[in-house]
Amino acid sequence: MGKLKQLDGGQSPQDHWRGWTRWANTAGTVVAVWLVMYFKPFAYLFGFHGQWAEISILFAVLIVSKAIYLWGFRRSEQLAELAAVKDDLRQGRLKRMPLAARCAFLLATLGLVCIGWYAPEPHSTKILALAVPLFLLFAAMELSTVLRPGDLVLQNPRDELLMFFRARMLKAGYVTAIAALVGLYLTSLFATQYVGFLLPIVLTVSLLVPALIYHRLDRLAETDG
Amino acid sequence: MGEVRIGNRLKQWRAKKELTQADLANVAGVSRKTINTVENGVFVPSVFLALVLARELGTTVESLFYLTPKNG
Repeated sequence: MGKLKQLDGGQSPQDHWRGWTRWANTAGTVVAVWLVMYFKPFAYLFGFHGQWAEISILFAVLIVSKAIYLWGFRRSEQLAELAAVKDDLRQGRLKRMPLAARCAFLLATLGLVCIGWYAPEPHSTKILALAVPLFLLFAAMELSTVLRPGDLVLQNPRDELLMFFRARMLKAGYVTAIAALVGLYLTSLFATQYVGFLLPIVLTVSLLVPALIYHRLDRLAETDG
Repeated sequence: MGEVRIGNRLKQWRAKKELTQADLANVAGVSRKTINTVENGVFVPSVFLALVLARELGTTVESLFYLTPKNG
């Protein structure tokens, strides 16, 4: 029981700080993307034109400047942090993002995609340029949870219960995806203009149904008979 | 053969050996939830896990698991 209590225990101040720094980084990146898309600084500086060129250059600049900053000013802290993360992974202390947070991000980015789809130009392209990569990122995250279910980042490959859960999740996801595809096909026959709008919704539903099945099975596994 | 399901006496054997679910999970190399779901009949383990559980509880697979009528 001691081990379980340790796994469920609260976050340390360092973890808390690390979490906030990560959030600040993400928020900063999103703000930077918006600023770059509206003010187009790289078009003035280098003569590259277009939303994707601006965003690609911004990400290259962000990655290089962060690497230089970490290597130059926080090398020892970074190495210690990396060792701590490795240790957490080995000890099974590193947990996945909870279902509620994953759902919130996926649905929020889906909302942005839907808004971008119907927004008038030139706002539509700008919103979609930001929303589609974020939506695909969270969809990929959700897909990885379906393929490798469990609360921990690094799972025990011998845990048969997780394999059992995975089989149930894949079955639910498969049935949902097939039903959704049939729905899409029928929509394409009678109202073609809605297909592009419905595609991300169908993808989200096909990913969230297995996640909810896992959540239900996990709650069932927690309950004593 | 009528419809049957797999029943188990895992809880009784675990209590006999004075082990918690977490203790048994630890020695069998699985999660506590796995032991809980096996005990509740939600999940039927593989032959490999059944053999491991029987070995750790000092008994045989036949005494841990048995066939029982589905409505029984």
